[in-house]
Amino acid sequence: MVIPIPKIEVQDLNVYFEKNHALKNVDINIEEKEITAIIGPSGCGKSTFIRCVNRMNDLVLGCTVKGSVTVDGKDIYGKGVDAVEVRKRIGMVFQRPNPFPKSIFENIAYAPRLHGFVDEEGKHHSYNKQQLKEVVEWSLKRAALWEEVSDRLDKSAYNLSGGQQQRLCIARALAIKPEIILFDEPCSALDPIATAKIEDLLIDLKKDYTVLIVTHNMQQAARVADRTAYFYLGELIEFGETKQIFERPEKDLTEQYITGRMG
Amino acid sequence: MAKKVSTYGVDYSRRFTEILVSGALFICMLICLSVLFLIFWMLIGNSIPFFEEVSVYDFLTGDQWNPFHPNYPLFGVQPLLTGTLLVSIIAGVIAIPIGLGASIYISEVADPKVKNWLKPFIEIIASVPSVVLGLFAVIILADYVMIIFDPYSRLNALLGGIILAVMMIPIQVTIAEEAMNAVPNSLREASYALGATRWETIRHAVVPAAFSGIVASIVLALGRAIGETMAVTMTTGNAALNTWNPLYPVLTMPATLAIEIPEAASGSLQYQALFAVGLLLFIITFAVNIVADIVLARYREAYK
Ligand SMILES: Nc1ncnc2c1ncn2[C@@H]1O[C@H](COP(=O)(O)OP(=O)(O)OP(=O)(O)O)[C@@H](O)[C@H]1O
Ligand SMILES: [Mg+2]
Repeated sequence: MVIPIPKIEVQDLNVYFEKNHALKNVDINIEEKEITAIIGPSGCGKSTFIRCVNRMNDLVLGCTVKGSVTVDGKDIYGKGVDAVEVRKRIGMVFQRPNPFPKSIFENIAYAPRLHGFVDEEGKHHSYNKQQLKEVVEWSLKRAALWEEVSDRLDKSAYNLSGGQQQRLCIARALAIKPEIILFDEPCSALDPIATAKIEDLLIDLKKDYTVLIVTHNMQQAARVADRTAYFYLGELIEFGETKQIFERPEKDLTEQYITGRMG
Repeated sequence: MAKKVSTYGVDYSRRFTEILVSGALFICMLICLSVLFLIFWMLIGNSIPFFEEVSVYDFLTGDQWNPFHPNYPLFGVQPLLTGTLLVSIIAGVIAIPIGLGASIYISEVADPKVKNWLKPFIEIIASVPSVVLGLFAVIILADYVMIIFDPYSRLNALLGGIILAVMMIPIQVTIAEEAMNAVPNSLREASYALGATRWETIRHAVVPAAFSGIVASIVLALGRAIGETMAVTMTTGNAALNTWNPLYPVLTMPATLAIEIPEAASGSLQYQALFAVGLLLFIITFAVNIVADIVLARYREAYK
């Protein structure tokens, strides 16, 4: 029997905001090229959890993270690991679309311009104009936005609709060529049609990426996620196949939440 | 139960108060406008007779300013324009980088606690009367300028420029810091999440997003520098030399007005010439402020 190595292995994760114990002893394994949904009532630590995976919490004053998060076998909280290098490899999409006040092209080109790329021999290069164009086009296509914007790449990203802006943010994250993408309630500011587009995209992205998504929308979790984790008051209550979580939850707390008797 | 029945009738007394209040407000606004109009009218009205004697061309291109010469008074505004621009440019060269650095530090780098006392501290500099700054420049700064730069005279364009920079920086920092503060945190997070460092985030996300606010802060501070009178009169030596050498004394337009108006006989050609200088100064600062307004308006637009 082959035991697959999890893409992300979280062990004994504890997070404090000053005195507030926001995550308590979380252990969870995220499988490669699957969608894992994080659900739970407001304030239970969903955002805090996924922000630990790309060390975004490091930026919050007074936040302490204890425990280990191992990505591809390497503890990203280990000694000598640079948070900036971690974030270069993990994409993140936020609750509200947050494009830069720049053109569509410049939004996607932001990270490639800063980071350049590494070739097969391990040498570092910066993108030339043509390569940059290719990355932008590839990212926009992958995020299913190319058709809609290919004729106005030089126009401000602020002119796009909310759903388009969110797909732009996904394309922007794809441009760093990550293997993992984190989504923090990516559809909560969108209408049902824009939401459906993002959901289709998520399922399509699963082919190439490991996806972690926080959502308040239980149907969404049921529709897109392979596995679902239920958090309550900073603790991971239950984690398993989405079908099992929604149809046969083992814990009372989970059942209460998914049947709508709480939260 | 007796209920008051609404009749939807016209409430004349309320209508009367409304008319009264809006009338009063209109008069307040009119007073402000008419001050501006009066200033403009005063400058133009007094300049016209001057330009009947001396052509606009001679005034603008003449390179000697000596209105009180008994036989050959000279009304070339070039030395004054040069003096004003030179002092302002020196001030800008010093103040713009320092002001930008300080605003970035306060907005993006400083600990929130430090930030809370840094900001009022910088604003205090803005509240020091310019005559006090002038004194400080003449008594203390001038010594250092003498030792370091060995200028032609103790009072000179460089000294004036330095003290103007001191006045510009707090204006610039206040506005630029506000502009950077207004950049939503979500943009910083977007940048960090893409693997940008703090410096890259400041340079490529925060500063561009606050760019028009930063430009406006510079333009407004420059406008202040161009029009500043007291500190400049005290520090620049006030000699109409028509030179771009910062180590020489210069005479600026505001200083010219402050010094020479009391000496000129009311209604004389000299007197009118000074109004022409005032008009030119007004046009320059007005233009600078309009530029600032346009930039600021565009910047507010971007974040609606
Ligand atoms: N930047 C912060 N500073 C201080 N406390 C924070 C911060 N972010 C989160 N917290 C605290 O950590 C706990 C978990 O918050 P978190 O944002 O992770 O919840 P969430 O599950 O994402 O909620 P929501 O569904 O409302 O987004 C809360 O008690 C919250 O107050
Ligand atoms: Mg959240």
